[in-house]
Amino acid sequence: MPDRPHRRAESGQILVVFALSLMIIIGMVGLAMDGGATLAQRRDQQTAADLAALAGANDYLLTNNAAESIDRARSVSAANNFTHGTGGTNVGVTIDTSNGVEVTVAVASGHKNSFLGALGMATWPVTTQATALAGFPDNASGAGPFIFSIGAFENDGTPKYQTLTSFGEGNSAIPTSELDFAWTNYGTGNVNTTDVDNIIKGDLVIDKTVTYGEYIGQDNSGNHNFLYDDVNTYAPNQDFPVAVVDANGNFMGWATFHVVGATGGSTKTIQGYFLASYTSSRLTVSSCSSGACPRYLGSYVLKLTN
Amino acid sequence: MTVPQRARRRDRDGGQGIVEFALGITVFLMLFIGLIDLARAAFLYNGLSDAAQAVARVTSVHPGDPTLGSSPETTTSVTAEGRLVPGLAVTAYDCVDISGASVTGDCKPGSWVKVSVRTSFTPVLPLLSPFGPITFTMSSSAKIQ
Repeated sequence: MPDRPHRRAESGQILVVFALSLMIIIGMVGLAMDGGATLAQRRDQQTAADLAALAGANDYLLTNNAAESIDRARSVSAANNFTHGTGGTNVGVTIDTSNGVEVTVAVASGHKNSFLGALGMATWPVTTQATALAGFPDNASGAGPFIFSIGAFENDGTPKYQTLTSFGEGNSAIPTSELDFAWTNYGTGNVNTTDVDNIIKGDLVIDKTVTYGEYIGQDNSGNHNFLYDDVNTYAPNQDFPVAVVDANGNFMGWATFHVVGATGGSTKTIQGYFLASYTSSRLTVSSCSSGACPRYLGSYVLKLTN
Repeated sequence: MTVPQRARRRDRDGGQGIVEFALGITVFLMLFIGLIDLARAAFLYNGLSDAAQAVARVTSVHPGDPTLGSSPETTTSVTAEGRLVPGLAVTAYDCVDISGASVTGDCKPGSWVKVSVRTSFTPVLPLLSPFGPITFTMSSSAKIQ
């Protein structure tokens, strides 16, 4: 049987070709299946990190307690299927209170490969990170030309008037009661009504730095009838950041006031209400450390920063 | 059977084997390369989807001033995703509202950034070359923070 060794050699060749082909097939199928699944895991993991950071920052704002904030962030991450200390998953949480409160959550986990495990790649590392900022606002853009009284808020900062209410003008430099308000052009001395007029119309942007506890009252005597007409024309159904002062006219923080309408003449009232648990793009935290920020007055900042 | 007859049959058998091998290897290679192309296309499509979401998220946190998508963080993200998705190109950063309608003016918090990306896929399989390169497009939106 002279051809038997030749056949045996061909059988060996087929085996090698098959083995090589199989490895390439496993590699390519693994690239598609495991690669795709890893990318999907990265998206899920990023979502978990984002939500955990937001929850942790929000928790710190409410409790001022770092340990509780870290627990909250990890529990939210676990609720999104990335549990700290389980299955090789690590959820690192760091808190920085130098500017409001910034909570950074880093989720590190491994993707268990199905096909590529056969080629020696059992897992691929997946890491995601998110940072959320929370705080009570110390900056406002597009603020309304109104000053309200701290008396319109409960001791914990919750607004008392969250349904339609009329706030009157007392012609004083600062609000003299909790249902009073005062005009301001964020200057000093007499109120410049032309400036107030232009602020309401959106024609004037005033860049002013006000620190916590600073006196911001302005003399308000005079006839402001046309300002009420402006409010009725330009401001109905808009939410304005508004300054809030204590009984001595010192700046306490920003609230958000929803304007419904205004009545001039002898009535001189602005109708509207304060918003509670409110976060707005027009209110930001930029430089105040946690605990030294203006107090909670119905508005807060909570957003992802990285 | 005489010796010359046996030799002629072996010659015929050899020719038949070559033809069978040629046909077999052609079909095998087509299936083999087709599978590779399919896997490459699937990975590229998944990667493009992932890239659109990743760039949209980064741009929603770092929108860029004054032009949407001009932040250094967005540029870094596009570069990083480009390592996973060869030929990745961002075709547009659009400011839209929650319904997808275009928003004019500055893209402020509360609006959404819609990132559109594309890449092209060139099949290795010669049979598919008339259809290639195939352009994949994808878009993803994220709320401006």
